[in-house]
Amino acid sequence: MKRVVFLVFSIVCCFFMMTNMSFAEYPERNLNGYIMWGSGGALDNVSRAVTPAAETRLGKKVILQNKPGATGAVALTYVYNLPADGYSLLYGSENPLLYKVLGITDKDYEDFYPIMLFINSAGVVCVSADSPYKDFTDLVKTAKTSPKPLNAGSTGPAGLPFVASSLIRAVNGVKFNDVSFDGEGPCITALLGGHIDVVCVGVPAAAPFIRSGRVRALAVISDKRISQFPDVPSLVEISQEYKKFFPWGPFHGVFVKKGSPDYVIAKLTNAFEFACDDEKFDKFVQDFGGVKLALTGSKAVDYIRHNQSVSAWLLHDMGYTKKSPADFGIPRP
Amino acid sequence: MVESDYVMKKKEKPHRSPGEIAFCIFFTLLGCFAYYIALSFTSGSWDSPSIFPRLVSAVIIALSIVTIIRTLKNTVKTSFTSVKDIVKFLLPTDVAVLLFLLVVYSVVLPIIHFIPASFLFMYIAMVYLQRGRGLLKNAAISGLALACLVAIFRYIFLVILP
Amino acid sequence: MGTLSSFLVPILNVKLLLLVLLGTFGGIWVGAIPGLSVTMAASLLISFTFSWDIYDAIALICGVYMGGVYGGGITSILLNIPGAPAAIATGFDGYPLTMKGEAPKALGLACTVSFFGGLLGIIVLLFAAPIISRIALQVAPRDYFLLAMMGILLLTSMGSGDTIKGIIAGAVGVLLSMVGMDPSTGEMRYTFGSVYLMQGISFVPAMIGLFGVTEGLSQARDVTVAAIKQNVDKIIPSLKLLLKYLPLSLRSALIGIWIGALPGTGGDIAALIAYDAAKRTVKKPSAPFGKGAYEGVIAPESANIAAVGGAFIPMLTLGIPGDAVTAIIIGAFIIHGLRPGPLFMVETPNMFGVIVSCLLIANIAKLIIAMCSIKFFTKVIDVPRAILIPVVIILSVIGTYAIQNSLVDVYWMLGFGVLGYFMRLYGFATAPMVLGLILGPILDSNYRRAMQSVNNDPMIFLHDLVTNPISLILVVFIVYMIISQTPQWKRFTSKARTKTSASNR
Repeated sequence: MKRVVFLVFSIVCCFFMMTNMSFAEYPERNLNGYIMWGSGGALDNVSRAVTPAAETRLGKKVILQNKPGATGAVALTYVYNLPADGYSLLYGSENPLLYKVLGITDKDYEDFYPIMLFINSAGVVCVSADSPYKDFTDLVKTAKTSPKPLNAGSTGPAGLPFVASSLIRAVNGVKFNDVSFDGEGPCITALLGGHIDVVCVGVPAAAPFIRSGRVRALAVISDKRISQFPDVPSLVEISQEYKKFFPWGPFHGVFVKKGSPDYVIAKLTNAFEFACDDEKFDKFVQDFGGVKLALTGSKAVDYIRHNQSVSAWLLHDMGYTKKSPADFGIPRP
Repeated sequence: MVESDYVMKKKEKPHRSPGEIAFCIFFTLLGCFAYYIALSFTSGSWDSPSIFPRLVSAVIIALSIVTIIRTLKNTVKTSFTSVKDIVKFLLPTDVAVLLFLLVVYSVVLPIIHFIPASFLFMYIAMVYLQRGRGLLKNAAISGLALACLVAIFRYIFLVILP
Repeated sequence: MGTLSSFLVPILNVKLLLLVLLGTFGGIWVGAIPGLSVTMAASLLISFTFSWDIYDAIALICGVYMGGVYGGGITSILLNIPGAPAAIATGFDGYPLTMKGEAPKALGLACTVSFFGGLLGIIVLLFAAPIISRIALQVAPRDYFLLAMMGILLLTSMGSGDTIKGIIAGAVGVLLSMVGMDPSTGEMRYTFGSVYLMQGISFVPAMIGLFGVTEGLSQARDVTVAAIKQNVDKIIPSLKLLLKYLPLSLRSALIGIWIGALPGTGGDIAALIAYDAAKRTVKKPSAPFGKGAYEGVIAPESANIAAVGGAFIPMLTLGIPGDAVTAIIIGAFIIHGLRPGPLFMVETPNMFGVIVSCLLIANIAKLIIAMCSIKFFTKVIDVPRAILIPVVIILSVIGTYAIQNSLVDVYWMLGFGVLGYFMRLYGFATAPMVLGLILGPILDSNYRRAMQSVNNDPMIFLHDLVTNPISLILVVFIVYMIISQTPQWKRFTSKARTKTSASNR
């Protein structure tokens, strides 16, 4: 008798779990969020900071996972291959815009719809505090005249450090030796240890080190100074030749696959707008060292397209691309 | 001191398993293939993407060949009476059945999803491995184990099961 | 170091205390179950504790971390299935001990040295963090390359199985680790245009397959073998035993601290190098290494837990993560509005004291909880193979899927499992392949980084190897490791030994 009861109990348990479905409106179940860079990075922090508030509006949880690899191509392709039903969100940065010209993959944000662009940040040109470069012109002069090229950190061809240093290469005509690392964090670590001479990283990654004096910021890669470090000149201040590239810079946002139903887009946009309005997020943005974008819809699309024009043509003109942006209909900035 | 003593002193060579040479050849071919593909990667400088793949493939090829030679020299081919015996050695019935169940499981998993597929796998495997005994007991154990696993993974760790 | 009272915060606050205990308890289970990793759990906890007070979240995470590192060793010893990569080396001698019926003793030993190793890690964190982090920064890419070389050389001296076959397995592992996008140039290697291969072959499914499923299939060759009777009498190691092994444990812990303090490397590499070091320095192990030597369990278990303390060093002093879990904790700090970085200790001085306290409490809790549950865990061995094998296989499946919700991972895992079965059949050990998968990327990336730094000039590369103190020390170690394997050296040392014993008579 006991055995039968035990058996029935076990089988009932199993069936209970199998029939765990509920019928309601979107979202009916938890969503999956895929972050295209690794834990602890800028994108990861932004995504995890903004999502909880959005969850309260959605009524369900967004289960965040990091899916790094191939400068974000792994996550992008993965989400692309999932159904466009609104249960798979892609949290991404600006890197996908270069996939097509670099031959990394043939998909990019054109295949996605931007729910919201949260934040953009500027890059800074960083050197170690005990390096001899007092300012940007100093660095450029040494880079031009030194017999051995300076070592510049990089996170891969589609990453900010490389594109930013290409910018400097294009305008100032210097050469750098690229040493690649697994992310902006390791770049800074290498900078501190003296293993590289210079690196361009985002303000969020560099801020703690600039504040503590371990790292010196020589220039902000932007057309205006940033409030966090008002003493650092912008590149445009240093040379007007930089003006035509801006506004430009890394950004972070959340996307769904193109073709997702309108009610999905409406609900998600609403939820994330609510999250961005939150004053906790404002404080986060300030600490983060960026500028709140909160762009949705066609404004977001325009922003992304302009960003892509700048980066793609910049790299192409320097000869770093596999294909021309013209092949994909990307107009010059 | 005659021949017989000498014969007794000679050591018996160990037997090698069937397919051992074939397995080593598989590795050699893998190495060759990898090396060949690696040649198409960007090369030229000391920091090319092709350096390590080529280096490692070369190591694999070299050592696999060494292993093949050593195996040929130091071991004696085991004499099996028939193909059936070879298969029986490589894949004893239990292992073969488990493998078959695994293949079926892999195919069926996306269709009927995790809980039913895993329950069936565990139940059938357990009953089979115990030669058909304890039909009820195994169902209960499978169910309980599954319940525990699902509880831990789905509810605590929020993993969405396949 | 913050105010002294910050150390007492977790001790006096009952909620924090309970959270640490809960975390440690959960952590042991997380670590033990293959496929569940501390990294995954930490990541989930960050989201879960988003609205909590930061101290509460930290308490929980520290507990899970400490418990998890030891937990991986449990299944490694009992079932030869590492619950975490940091526990791979533990199984080399741990599982043979189980085969000899000494699993409880092995677990007890592992638990005790894990306590001491963890303690040393915490003490060093407390007193020497700034100095160590400064030195850790000086470690250049070429040094990481050398460290990974040391790990690979371990393959040449692994006692279990044929050396050459071990190297082949390891080389295949390294080869497989190259599949995917090259991080430096963005080039696709061995991907054949497939999206799945683009992200590379993750070593965790391979590990679960090569250990879990392989073990299951291999054991299925004879299902009727009865479980080995375990001697449950001697769990707590005697004081004499403890004193005998304490030096080795502390030495291994030191290795663990340093490797943990290096950004980007963690307990798994620490355990391997400590195991190798023990193998070379212990003259008379209790049994040959690989066949159930106690030293083979003590070294890795001391090192991998000390690496936890080590990983916190760069994280707290510089805001640079020492490993994956500390990277996640940094993320947690940022989300909670804190600012990790070189000024962290100045701006939030109390955090240091709280973390150290939590780690200490977790360490003690781990000792107590683990000791009490050894008897329970050992019962797993008594489960008949016919029941254990299917459950282990399903556990492997779900564990693999849990990593990144990918069915493809599961298929890879099963594939590796079958490959491993045939490898074992033909005398190839499976551990080297997993090692190759883990160390391959470190070898490749750092070698190329080093080359890039010297502008592809091999002469400067070699020159740097001998002019930098850290690199020089590592090079000397490696040369020693290679030479000590050759028959000439062995003849030389045994001759020297017989000469001294002859002259002593």
